[in-house]
Amino acid sequence: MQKAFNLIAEIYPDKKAMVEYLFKDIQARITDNDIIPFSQITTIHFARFVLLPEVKHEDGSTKFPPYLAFSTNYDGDLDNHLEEICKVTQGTFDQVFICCKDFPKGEITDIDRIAFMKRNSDYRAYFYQGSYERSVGQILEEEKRRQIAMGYIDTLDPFVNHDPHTVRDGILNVLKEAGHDKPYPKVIRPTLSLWQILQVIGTVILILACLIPFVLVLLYHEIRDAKKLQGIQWDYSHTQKLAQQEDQIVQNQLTHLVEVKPGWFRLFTLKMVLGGIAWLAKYYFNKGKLGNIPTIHFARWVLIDGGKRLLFFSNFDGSWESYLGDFIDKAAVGLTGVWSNTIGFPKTLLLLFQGARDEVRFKAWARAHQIPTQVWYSAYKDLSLTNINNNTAIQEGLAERPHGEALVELLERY
Amino acid sequence: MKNYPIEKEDIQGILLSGYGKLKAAKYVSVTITDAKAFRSWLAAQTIAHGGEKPAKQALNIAFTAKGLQALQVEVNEANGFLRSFAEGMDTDHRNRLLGDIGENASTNWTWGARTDERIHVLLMMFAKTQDDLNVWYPKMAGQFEANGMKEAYQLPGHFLHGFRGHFGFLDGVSQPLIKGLSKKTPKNDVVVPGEFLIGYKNGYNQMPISPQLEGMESFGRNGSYMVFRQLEQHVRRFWDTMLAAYGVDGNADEAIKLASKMVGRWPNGKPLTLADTPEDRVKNIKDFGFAKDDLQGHKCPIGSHIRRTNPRDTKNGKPKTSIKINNRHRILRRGRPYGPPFQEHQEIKEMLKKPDDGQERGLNFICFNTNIERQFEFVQHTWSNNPKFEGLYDDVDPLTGVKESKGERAPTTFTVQASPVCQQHRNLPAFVTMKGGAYFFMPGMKALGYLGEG
Repeated sequence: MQKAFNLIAEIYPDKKAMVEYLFKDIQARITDNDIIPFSQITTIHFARFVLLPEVKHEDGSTKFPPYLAFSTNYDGDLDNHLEEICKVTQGTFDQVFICCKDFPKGEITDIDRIAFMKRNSDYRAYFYQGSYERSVGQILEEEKRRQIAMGYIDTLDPFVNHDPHTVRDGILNVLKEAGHDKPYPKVIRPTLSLWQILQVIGTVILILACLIPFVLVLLYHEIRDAKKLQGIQWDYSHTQKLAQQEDQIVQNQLTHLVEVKPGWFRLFTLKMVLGGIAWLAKYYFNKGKLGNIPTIHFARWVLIDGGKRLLFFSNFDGSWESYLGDFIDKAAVGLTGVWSNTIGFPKTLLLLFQGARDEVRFKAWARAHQIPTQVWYSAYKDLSLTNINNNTAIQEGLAERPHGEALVELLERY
Repeated sequence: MKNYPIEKEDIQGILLSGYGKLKAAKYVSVTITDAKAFRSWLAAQTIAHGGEKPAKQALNIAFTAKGLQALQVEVNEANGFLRSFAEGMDTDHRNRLLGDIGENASTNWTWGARTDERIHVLLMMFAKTQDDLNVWYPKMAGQFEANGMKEAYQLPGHFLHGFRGHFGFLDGVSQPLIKGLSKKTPKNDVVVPGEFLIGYKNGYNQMPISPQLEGMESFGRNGSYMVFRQLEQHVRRFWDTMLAAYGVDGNADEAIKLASKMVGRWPNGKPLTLADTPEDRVKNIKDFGFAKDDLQGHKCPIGSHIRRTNPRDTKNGKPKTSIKINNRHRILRRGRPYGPPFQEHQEIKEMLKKPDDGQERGLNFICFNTNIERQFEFVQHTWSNNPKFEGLYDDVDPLTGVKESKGERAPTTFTVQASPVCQQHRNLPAFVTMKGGAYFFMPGMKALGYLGEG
């Protein structure tokens, strides 16, 4: 099982500089630093530390305190994951946590650490998984197997027509010889039971019944919000700071934090939309594409500060520009449905329309609410999501011993 | 077709025409040493616009951010300039996007690096013959000193035999065409004007972000951003690599076939998707897609140059939607080769036999777009330099792509899709080296007038 862990803990404002210093240290040697050597933690796909900066009211008083956010995409159950983190870090992690107000003082044990992490991570994550339910180990092993097979394919004479069965046997042979041939259990994607289908139908009927009053209230909100909207506001120096971090490896990260529009109506709508997306992510978008976007490894939305702010973490392939472009070109409806409930979002129509299609305004808004991610780790920095899903298809396909056209299709995946 | 009244007379000529009849070109970059003197000089120039067809010569002009700043124009977000233009081509982040690392690093550029304070204005001079240009240029250069300018760097430009590129392949085949300017072209290549001209609706049916100055609200109108990259081409290395691909003896036909697989077209321009051999008859070498018959890349490899730089109808989804999305990442190319041809008639079989002559040659890559980040940089990073393009693992554009490994330029891989299994060509060297470049803004004619007034 892949899951999303979110720790969000308030820090002492005067410890901000220290946290930043530690983060720099960790990022400089991301895999093998002395504080949290990520590559030794086998349950982590992606991890990040972010300082959520303090936000003040106009009168200078604190609106939102500064937080430390620590998030992972991990395998297995939470206790096991947190225990592994504690075991690998041997208390060195306290240097970071000590900046949090809630972290216990004095002599502490792993039990206290785990209790602290659990206490501060009680958030619902609306979660999407692109490499649905495969473990880090499986992802790395399947790539290893592809490379072994490619070593064999390289030896084939390019001017000869090869019999697919001979090629398949050759591949199976080298994998066996290398000891990399044990099949993984096939990925099981959940399907709906009859009871669940009835529930969906019921929900749809309920939504339809409420549609007219909902739309009326929504239109009132949309007209009012559109009037408040200001011109496009770019901040190039902020954007440049963010861009400087990007495009170092195959994947990139995005941390985005924005206030939800005030009032119960927007929060209610947002929760409905997010609930819908999380449901679709589990039952429908579980084959490597969110909407029609094939580059998102993991994405999650988390409501913090009692639903006053929406935090979004994403790990994706390629550049910010291409990610945002895909958002607009292939998933504008979904993301407009979510973020139209947050402040500053481009003008929308009936929740789902317009909005993100206002390209430049949307991109400026996305950058304006994006915050720097001080520490970011990827367990497989050379693999795109398409690679990962292709590798699984090869591994599962080989185990099924196909013939004829199915075999050729499988071999062409190499 | 919707009618777009394009204000041709307010658009600089090179944006609307490649000046095919003006065979000789010179790109002269100058430093502004006296803004006032430069302004009055500028006001007196005859700049070619899109409403005319210059028969003898044409002058067009573009500015870097540093150049506009020299004229007291603030280049920032408040004035509506693009971030990429304001920051320039050479930043740490952009180096990664564009592959300007290793030998391509800006520290090796002859012009345009962030430390180069000289590149302010680019004078693009086109003349009917080289002789005409030889007469015109000294007259032009003679005016520099008295008019607040100093020459910084210059590059020649010309066409090679049969409009071939230096590697021997027909160049500049598929080019987007601005909607509303009537010319015959395949539908796929018709792109709304706002992708190349500021002041018209773009691919998102919106107005491109436009520079606005105090005193001239519509400063951006009928202007465009211009990318200039001087790319040296290693012709001997290119063909040596092709000859060595299948062993030492080097069969010429196989070498040309492999090179064609890398390009995606035969040397005569026929696309591999339509032509199994260079002799096959093809109705229109521009009019085709990959989705219908060649999605797997068995004819035109997925990672080939033409497929990466213009994936046409394959950008996952329905072909029609794909073309719409694809056309939000088009660029209008206006570059020309520089340096002597490796072989006078660009005959590849002759090239294969010829020893290296040690001469520098390449392409002055020039393109126009209204959003550098979404168009030029996207094509370069998300398509050309992307090892993961369309499901690939480790390839980059075999001609122009840059593979990065630990901050250095690494050898590349090229995959030829085939049934039942692909073939991979590994450890390919670089065939192109970046020598210098910059981002420019090419103002409309009225905006030039505004700059000239001072």
